[in-house]
Amino acid sequence: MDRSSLNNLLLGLSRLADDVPMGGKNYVEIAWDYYIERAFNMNIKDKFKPASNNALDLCNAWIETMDKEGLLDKNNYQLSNRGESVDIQVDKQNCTYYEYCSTAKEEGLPLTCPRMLGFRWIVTNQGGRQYQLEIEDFVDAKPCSGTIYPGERIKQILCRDGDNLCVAGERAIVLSTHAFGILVKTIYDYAPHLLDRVLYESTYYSSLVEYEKVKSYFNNPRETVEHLLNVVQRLGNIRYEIAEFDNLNKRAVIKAYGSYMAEIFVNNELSTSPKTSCASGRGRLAAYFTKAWDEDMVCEEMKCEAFGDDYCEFILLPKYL
Amino acid sequence: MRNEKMGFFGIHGIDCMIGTGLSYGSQIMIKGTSGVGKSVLASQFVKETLACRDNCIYICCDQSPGEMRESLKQYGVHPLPYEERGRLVFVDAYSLEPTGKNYFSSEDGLEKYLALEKEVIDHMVNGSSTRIVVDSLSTLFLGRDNQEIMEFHRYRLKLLKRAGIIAMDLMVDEVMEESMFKLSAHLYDVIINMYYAGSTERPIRALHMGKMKSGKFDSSQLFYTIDPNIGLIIMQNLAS
Amino acid sequence: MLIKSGIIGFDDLLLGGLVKNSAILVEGVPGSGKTTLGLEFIYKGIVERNEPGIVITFEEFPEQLYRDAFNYGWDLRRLEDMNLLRVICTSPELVLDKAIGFLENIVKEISAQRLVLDSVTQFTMELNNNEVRSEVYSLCSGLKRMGLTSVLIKEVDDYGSQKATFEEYIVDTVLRLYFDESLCSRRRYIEVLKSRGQDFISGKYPLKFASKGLEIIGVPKLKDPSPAKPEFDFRKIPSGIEGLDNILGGGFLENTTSIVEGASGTGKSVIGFHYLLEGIKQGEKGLLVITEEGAHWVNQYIKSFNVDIEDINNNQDIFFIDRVFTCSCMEEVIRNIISVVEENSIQRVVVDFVNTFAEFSDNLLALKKQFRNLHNSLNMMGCTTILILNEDQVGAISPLKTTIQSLVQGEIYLSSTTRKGKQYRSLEVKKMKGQKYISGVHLVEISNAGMAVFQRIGGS
Repeated sequence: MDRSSLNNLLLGLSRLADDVPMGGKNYVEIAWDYYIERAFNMNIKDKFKPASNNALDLCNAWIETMDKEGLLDKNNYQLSNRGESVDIQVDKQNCTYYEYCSTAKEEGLPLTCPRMLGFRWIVTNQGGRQYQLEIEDFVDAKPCSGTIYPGERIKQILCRDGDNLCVAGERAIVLSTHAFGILVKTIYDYAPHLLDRVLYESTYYSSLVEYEKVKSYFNNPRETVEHLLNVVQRLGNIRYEIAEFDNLNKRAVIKAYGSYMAEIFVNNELSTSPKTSCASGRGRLAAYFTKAWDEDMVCEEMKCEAFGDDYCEFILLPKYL
Repeated sequence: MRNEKMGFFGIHGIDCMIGTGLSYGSQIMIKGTSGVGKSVLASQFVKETLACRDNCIYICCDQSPGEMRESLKQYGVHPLPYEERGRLVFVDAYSLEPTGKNYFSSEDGLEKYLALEKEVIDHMVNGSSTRIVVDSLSTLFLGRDNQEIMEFHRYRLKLLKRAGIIAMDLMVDEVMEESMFKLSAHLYDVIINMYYAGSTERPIRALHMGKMKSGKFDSSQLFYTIDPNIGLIIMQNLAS
Repeated sequence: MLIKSGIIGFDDLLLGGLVKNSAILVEGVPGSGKTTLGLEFIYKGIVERNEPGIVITFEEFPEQLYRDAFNYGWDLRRLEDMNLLRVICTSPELVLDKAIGFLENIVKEISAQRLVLDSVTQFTMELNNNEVRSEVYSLCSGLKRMGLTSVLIKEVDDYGSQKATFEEYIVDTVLRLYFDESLCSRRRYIEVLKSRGQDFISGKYPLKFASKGLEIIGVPKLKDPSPAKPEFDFRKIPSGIEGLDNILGGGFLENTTSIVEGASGTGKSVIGFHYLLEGIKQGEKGLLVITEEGAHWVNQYIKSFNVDIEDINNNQDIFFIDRVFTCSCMEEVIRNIISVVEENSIQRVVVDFVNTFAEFSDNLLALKKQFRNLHNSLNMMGCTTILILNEDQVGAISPLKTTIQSLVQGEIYLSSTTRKGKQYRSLEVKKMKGQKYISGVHLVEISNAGMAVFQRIGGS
């Protein structure tokens, strides 16, 4: 395939990854990993002769082999190791995938580095140990930089398991807001005093589990919470923004846009008068921060889209205060 | 769609009884024996107040503000963020010694109480309505003569009505003379009478809305229980 | 044409001064101040008006006069050396002898324009009645011809005889000095009995021997042609006590006088302090007149309000007049108050307390006149005044109070009772002319933070 077609194909993959629910660059990486695996097995395997199984030697052997095959120019690459990690620098101007990266960056599409993915794949598959890839932001004036390091790859929150959908490894169903609204309204009609509590606790307990499943992938509580909030956003629930995050005093302020609960409350007239409605949002955030700071946290909603505000505003604080 | 904002209790069964809601400037009396659940009702009222974006002033006569804060947390609202934003103010009329700026001693005159109440109201956040809860007003009246009480009562409710404030006054049955209740009843728009019905061996909590002005009201008896996390749960008539 | 005498209050009495070239008779009992008045007339004429003068004395030696004058800082010898003054001790005959022309020579020598003759009584001792009349008449004409404005001093023993003497007919102006030794103190007064060709202010006015000369006290000021007083907007002047301002609908009406009355310990002075301290906040200077204690006591009291007294003193935000009881008369107190108010553009005045003024006179009518004078003067100068009245006899009707009650626009009554061992203070506004106020008895509390007033229930 010529260079232009290859880049266009990658752009198409990124575009698809952006549209697919729970998509993102992960999908590009999954697709590319599969492509590398097939290409390696078909054309490279027998010629691949690393000096040892450590990451740096694997990476060097990869460059040499690819260079000999005419698939890249080894002079464009600089490798150095830090412990078990390998820092990689690529001269982007001569890179085959330059058009893909610069266009994806410009269009705001999920972006990953095909070259560095190669390093990750070879080290993971030939070294026998899971490696993760972290890439620095694409900046035209500077060489591309990234690091591969030992680490579990984060599993997809939403994925297919045969005929079933799974969320966080558990079977899940997709429900429209209309259908969910009817469910909520039924609770409101028959047990109005329970609605708030039901919504709060259902998301609270499920969010505790979510946090547990992903916390090992991240270095600190903020990263974990950011990831989880991003997942919620990609699930189409609500877009969160961390406005304040005070580790020391265990206080946080979160803004949220496009609350589905506010929409449901207003459309189904689930209260006698306009009021703050996002009990499920409160439950979710209280759970995340309880886990993040190892403190029994509560969440109060100070602003709400159901009230006509521009966003919902949540305050997190320790219950004991 | 209603343009005028109306106030509710935040307790479904009671809100059903008041239909379209209370206009701002309404006065509510919650009357009942000790332990029947007046303060629980008040806590839910506060929760509803804050959820509606109204300001709330809570006058603590029968327990300290600290105890009231814990009570609110128990029923699902943490008061601190609202206090920090000036939307919720506790006035300590319970402690023996001054505990801060918003303090009232039982030894002080009712004129001083009025001045303090006015000062707190004036300092509330602008642009929002205010509700005020006195828990309990009968404690405030202890040891004062009837004429002073009536004068104060009339004057205060007039001021609050003029200011468009929803006032909820809790009254403990054992504290005030029945005659005083009767005399002050006409000053209120809504009276909720809470009591124990049923037998002495198996008492059951009940409430009755005694009066409502310029609007329909349901005068039937409602039974309720108190859930430690939710508060008052009105047992609705299953036939309705 | 009027000439200024240079004596404080004298020219106001004569509505501008003495007629030039006139003869003025100043009569009085010994010690009433005639000679001093005459000397000051000459001295001030020289140093302030550049009008040389002559002092003729028949009895006292010049040395005596120099000494007496020097007590007031008047150096007569130096003026003689400068040829602006002649002090002559001579005999009546020499003065009256036209042939010698004694006086004309001296007048020409120093170009004198003023003369004092002490005293014409000497003439009556030397001459018989008809001759005296003729000679004095001739003298007066001569003095006028010489262009002199003359003060002729006459000794009298008492004022028992009300019949006018011949001298009084001949001269243009007659002034009488009184010496009243009753009421445990000596008080001197001056009165204009007659003034040919000019108007004057009648009545007795206190005469004081001040350090730099005589002062006639309490003479109403001439209408000065200065710019008209600004129109008053009738705004409210806040007292600085929140509850009280609510009761008064904002404060005291501008340019009014109110009394604050009550027994000891009811908080009257506290109202005064709040009022003045509020004035500082509003950028209005204040005056506190303390009739009994000294200002240092006030400083201590003000400090208890957590106010920086040094700041107040340095910025001259509040002025003090204290130890009023040391003044000789109420006119003097009022004059002091008015002058401090005028010089410093004071807008708030507190008098603590007015009971002391009753000691200046038994005569309630005179007292009322003085209060009216004070009240009108302060109001015209744009002051809003609080007069504090102590009432220690519950139920008693104080004559002083009834005297000033009709004059003031406002009346606030403070009281205190004890119930169940606790003190309860209260405040009632009895009247406030020209403004609405909340009637009834209101609760008052006094703490370290000062006074707080709690409006009574039902008042609005």
